[in-house]
Amino acid sequence: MIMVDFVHHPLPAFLVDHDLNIKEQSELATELFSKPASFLDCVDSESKQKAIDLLKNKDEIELVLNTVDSPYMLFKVFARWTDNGEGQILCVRQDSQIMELSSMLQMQRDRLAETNFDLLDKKEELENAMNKIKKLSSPFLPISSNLCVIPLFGSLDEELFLINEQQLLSTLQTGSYEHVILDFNGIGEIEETGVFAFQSFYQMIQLVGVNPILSGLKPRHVFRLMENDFNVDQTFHITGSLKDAISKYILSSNERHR
Amino acid sequence: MPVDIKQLTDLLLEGNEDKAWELIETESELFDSSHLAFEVLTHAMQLVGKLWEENEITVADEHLATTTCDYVLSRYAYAKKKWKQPSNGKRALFLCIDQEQHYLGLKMISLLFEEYGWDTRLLGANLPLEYAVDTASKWQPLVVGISVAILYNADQLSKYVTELGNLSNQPEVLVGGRLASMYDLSKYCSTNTVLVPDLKEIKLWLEEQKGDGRDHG
Ligand code: B12
Repeated sequence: MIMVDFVHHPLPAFLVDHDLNIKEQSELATELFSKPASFLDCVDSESKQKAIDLLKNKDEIELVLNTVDSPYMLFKVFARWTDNGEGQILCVRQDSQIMELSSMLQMQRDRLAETNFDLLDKKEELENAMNKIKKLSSPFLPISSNLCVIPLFGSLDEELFLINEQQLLSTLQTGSYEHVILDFNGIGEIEETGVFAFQSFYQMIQLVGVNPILSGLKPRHVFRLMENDFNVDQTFHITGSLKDAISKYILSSNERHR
Repeated sequence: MPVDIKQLTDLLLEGNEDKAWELIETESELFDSSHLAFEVLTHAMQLVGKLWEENEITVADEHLATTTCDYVLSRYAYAKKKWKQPSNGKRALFLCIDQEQHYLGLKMISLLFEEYGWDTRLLGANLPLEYAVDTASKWQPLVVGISVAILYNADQLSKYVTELGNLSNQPEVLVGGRLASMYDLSKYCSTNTVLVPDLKEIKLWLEEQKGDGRDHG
């Protein structure tokens, strides 16, 4: 085997026998560990078993070692064994940089976690705000004791009905309305899912005993409704503008009640 | 255990915080009981320690597992904010002694106290005694919780216990952490120090305090 100058070894190094008793050690090793009799003397109590089990079988393991300055310092320990049972052990200090890095990582992580959670909060707020907007998108306007208007705004999608349907239906049910005008004047896009939701809303209005009338439909709305198998002509009372609808149905109900 | 600890440990080691969180969140037993959730995370971190002893991982991996576990804890506390009991006006201060970096357990305990309605301050790892004394005398907590994990830090413990216990408002000092679960630390403590070996004990203690509050109005 190559003879190694242990004393001047550039690392803390030990030459040990089969039982880890120290035969020689480098100056740097003395500086760090003083002069232990066995390598195990400088191994932390809770690294000892690992040292005993693995120093012989692994080229490289991490161990916590007692140094002159600190009772617990992390080292990467390299071991090479010769056929006659002698071993060279080299120790490379690990901790300080890792520790610094880790605390930086930690701080960053803490900050990130906070912002992440803040974002989650914001998302909830946003959803609440969206719900409010949707709610406002279909106010309920009583015109007379038997006529009311629901002006729809925004895009006609499933949500518009999911959010407003219950409220509107119960208002309709408790009132004594004969007609409700569903005004499309404020509607931009009509989504496919919105058509189905709308159809079911329409049917439920009928179920609570009120006649729905559509107003303010633009040609593209009509096309879009028909495209999705919405039966526009049969049961629906379609009038022109909202104004026309109101005057027509106020008149008609007034006439009847006279 | 309601989850596979090995699986959780692997996720922590991978730094897979979303999956690790999902594992806890979707297990209703864990989501309902913080004690159980923290116990599971404690076991996972202990398994991390075992893997290091077997040379399967390095301390660098432990760091990643630690931050991931920390994230899961924060996320857990955040998700359960709504179920927190209303403030009982009691204050508890938590710290690790000087040179002690093992703060995960302390964080769990602090979160538990919060859940029980305590106002808490988590001063965290590595807190020199003078800072601890300073904060405690200004904030006047009813309880000071101290955590120790490393054997060599036990010597310092008695100084902390004495000085903090002797503050004018005489806070109750609780001592926990890995060492408290392994050794009898009473020789480092005073007669009224409460030594807490594990989560079950702290749960009992918290329940007892709750009873106290009710009895005395
Ligand atoms: C993860 C870990 C780390 C992480 C830190 C994690 C953290 N921030 O908490 C990092 C990588 C930073 C680390 C660093 C070090 N570690 Co380390 N670490 C571990 C490991 C693997 C797990 C610890 C853990 O997180 N457990 C889970 C927590 C939740 O459990 P717990 O703290 O016991 O808490 C529970 C209870 O005790 C209780 N509790 C805790 N505190 C309190 C307080 C109160 C008031 C109450 C009531 C209850 C209570 O609540 C918890 C609920 O379950 C252990 C191995 C092991 N077997 O424990 C080694 C271990 C503790 N580390 C060790 C060492 C030596 C170190 C280092 C010095 C060297 C190194 N390995 O790099 C450094 C430096 C640390 C320092 N100066 O303090 C040794 C200690 C040996 C000894 N002789 O004491 C161990 C045993 C590993 C080993 N075999 O060598 N470590």
